Amino acid sequence: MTWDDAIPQVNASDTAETDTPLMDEEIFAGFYHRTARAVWAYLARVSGNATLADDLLQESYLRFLCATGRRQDDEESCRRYLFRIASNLLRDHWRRPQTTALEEVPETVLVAADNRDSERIDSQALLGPAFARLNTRERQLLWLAYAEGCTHREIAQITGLGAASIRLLLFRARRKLARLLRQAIPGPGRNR
Amino acid sequence: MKSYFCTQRKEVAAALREGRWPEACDPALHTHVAACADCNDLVLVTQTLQQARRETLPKPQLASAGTLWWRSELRLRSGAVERMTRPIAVTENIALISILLAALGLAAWQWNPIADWLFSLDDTSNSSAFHLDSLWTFTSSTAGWIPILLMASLGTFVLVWGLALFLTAEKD
Repeated sequence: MTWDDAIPQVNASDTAETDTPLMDEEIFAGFYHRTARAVWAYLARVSGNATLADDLLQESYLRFLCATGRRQDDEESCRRYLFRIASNLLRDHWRRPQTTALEEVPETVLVAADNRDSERIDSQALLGPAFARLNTRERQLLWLAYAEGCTHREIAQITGLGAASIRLLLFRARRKLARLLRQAIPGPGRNR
Repeated sequence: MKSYFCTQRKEVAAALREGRWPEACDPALHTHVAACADCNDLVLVTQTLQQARRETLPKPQLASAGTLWWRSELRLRSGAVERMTRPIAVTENIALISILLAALGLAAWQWNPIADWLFSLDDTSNSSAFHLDSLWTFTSSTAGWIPILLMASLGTFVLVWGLALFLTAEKD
């Protein structure tokens, strides 16, 4: 028996129990088209880097497909799981070269690193500069809560933070972003 | 104790989430939002981020789902191969360690004949009458077969190990 003969059999027996993709190719294609843009937007807005978002998006889906034991999950759970993978990849990315905590990454570095990317994603001139002055964790929480509409429990599952702390962290981040946005809004256009 | 959170925040959040803000919601809620800093922040931040999301969604150039599926299949397959070859690698390592231990044990057990042979070899090589014939004569003596066996084992071991290294490097 050659290796080529043996490997498909390994896949057939092994993957049935552990490594089977979550869904078949057709179902995955539908799931991908429904979720990929939202995951990309999350990655791009939190990282401030569209190229990085492209890379991490693909890696997120690859890890998702290679994940084990999630065959029975519904689409909403799969979506949450996908955001969790994306969050972990972002965290790993920032931790790898700098060996500093996620919150300590200088925001100027994140945003000014690639002006072309910033132009690509910061079409809304108001949000770009204000978002850039938040730390990564704050951007992550705000985007999940108010752009994606996740509940506190879902945010806790995605970010790995304690569910009890989400409310207060969100409150502070929201207040900070609102203050920055009001500073950016000229005169009478302000919301209050 | 001062409460950070407005009691009507959930109502405002629901109106924003369901798209009822600002036109399709109770005027009392408008009045409240105008007066409440927390809810005002919530409206501003939610509207800004939802708008940003709408603007960001069309931007990415996505890879095809088929390509991702194919890459995941490759990754699963290479993972299966790795799992399959891991026991073989472990067995190889155990065999290698066993051979080394056996060689060391044999050397320790037969240390005296080996030492005698090494000393006499030194004497022979220093003498002016060193010939292969004399070496053959020496090793043909009663105790001579053990060092020869050891040397042959060592030579075989080095050869096999080198071959294994070469094959591994070529595979990588």
